[in-house]
Amino acid sequence: MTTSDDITAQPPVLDVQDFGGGFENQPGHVDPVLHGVTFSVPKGSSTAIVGESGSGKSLTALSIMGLAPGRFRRTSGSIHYSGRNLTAMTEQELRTVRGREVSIVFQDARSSLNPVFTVGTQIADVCRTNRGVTRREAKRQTLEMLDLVRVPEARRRMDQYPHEFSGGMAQRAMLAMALISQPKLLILDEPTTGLDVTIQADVLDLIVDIKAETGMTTCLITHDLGVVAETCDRVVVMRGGEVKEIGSCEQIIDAPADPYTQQLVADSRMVENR
Amino acid sequence: MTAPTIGFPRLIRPTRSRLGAAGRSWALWTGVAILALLIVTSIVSTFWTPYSPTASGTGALQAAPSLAHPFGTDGLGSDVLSRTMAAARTDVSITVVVVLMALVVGTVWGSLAGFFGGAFDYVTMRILELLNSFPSLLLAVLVIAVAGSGIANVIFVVAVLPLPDYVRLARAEIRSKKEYQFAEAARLVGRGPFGVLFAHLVPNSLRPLLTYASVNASYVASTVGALGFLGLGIQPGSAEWGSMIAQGQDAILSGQWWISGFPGLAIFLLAAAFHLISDAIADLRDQGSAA
Repeated sequence: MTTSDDITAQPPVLDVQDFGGGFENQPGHVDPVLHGVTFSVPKGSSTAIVGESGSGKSLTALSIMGLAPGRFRRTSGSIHYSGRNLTAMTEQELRTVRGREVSIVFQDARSSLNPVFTVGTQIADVCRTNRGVTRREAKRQTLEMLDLVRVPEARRRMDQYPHEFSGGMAQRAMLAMALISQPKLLILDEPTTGLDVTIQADVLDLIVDIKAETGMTTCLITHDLGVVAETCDRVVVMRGGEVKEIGSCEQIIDAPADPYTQQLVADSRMVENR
Repeated sequence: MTAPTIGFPRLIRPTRSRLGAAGRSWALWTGVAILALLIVTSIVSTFWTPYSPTASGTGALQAAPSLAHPFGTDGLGSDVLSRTMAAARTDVSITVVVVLMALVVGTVWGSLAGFFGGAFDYVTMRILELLNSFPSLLLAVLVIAVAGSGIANVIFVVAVLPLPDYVRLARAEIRSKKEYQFAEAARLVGRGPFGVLFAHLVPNSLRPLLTYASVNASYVASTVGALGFLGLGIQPGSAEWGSMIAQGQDAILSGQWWISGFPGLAIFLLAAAFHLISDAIADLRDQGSAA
């Protein structure tokens, strides 16, 4: 693994600058949620965004995709992807980024799959929409991708419906769907929450392996420092819609500077040592 | 609008094994058998009927059912069996066309309203309230009285009557599902709004719509009959079950029940077939919620 110094020297794939915003619950009045969020994701890194529930980490991720909930209003800052300003893009332009350049995998994979279509059809469909390949070619690539994410008996399983998939298998299928368009940046929003610990470890291993194979940049959103230690080289700590601390994985876990980070690390140690 | 579909959703390509409990239900197969019989009859009647359905005096007037005339003859001496067969073509095809029209238009309209909301949704709902505020058969009679009779007008009117129900049903389905995570996930892989709506949300909403369509079909069958009975819509003289019942209504009192009875039975069979099928569709295994 490269050291964090090498990584920060790389140009950022994703650059979030002073990003702020809130929900317009009453017309004309915005309740602020994000306060000047600033961080960057260097090319080739695996950056983690860590924080408790409600810290704004998922909202930040959805804002990157331009898909924050309808009542969300941006009040300040910008998000740049590879030098292009995502916050200034039209819906049409954003659609060319979503899926093709930046993919996202959600926490609950089973509800991210459409219940009335087979898993294979859905993955192949993404492939056909984003890459304009033939039906046959899409099917071939789907099979390849399901093999890559280690779904056993991929040929049989691609003709099954989402309800026939376990949580771990569904998460792999979602990963295959996210990867099939060969995105440059993969955002994983709590990808292992709700899975058994053994399955969690499998999925995390898989993500690390795929990252090593493809050289893709990943951005992992989680509340679990254990997951971070295993998979990431850079950590962004968020709380209450603010970035508290940014540092290398070793630094954050061994020598956290911010009082909140210190407490977070101490608390997760306590859980581990019990 | 381009709305590439993903493929056929599971609901409408039920292989035998995937029909679940509905595949073994007598209701489905009875309904399908009756409907098939009526469809075959209407096809056969275009080539062959025992007598010409429009010819009068093929036998004695108001003759009781016999070997020569299994359903008897009517007041003009026409063969009731031949006329009932010929009328199957009119009634079955009107019913099918009407239901398909209402289903397609209602689904698209309701989906768009439910998905995009806003002014379009508001205007849609007001139009539906306007349509719903008239008693439906009265509205049909009024429109035909103004627009004139003819099969095209009957189809239009009978399709407009249940349209508000289809629109509301589709709208409610889409509204409840548009925030589902698979819809969000579809957006995140670069699907546009029409792609999310027609490739992901609409296929997920088809079950209640198809169930309603088959219930509605039986209502449409009897409404078409009712309009014919009132002498509206279908050209007098051409065979139609409702108008045949009307022709025979005086004869019932003097004991010649077959003139109205057999076309009445035919309307009943058509309506019952759709009801049986709708029961079975409602019983189809719910794939989404199966664990």
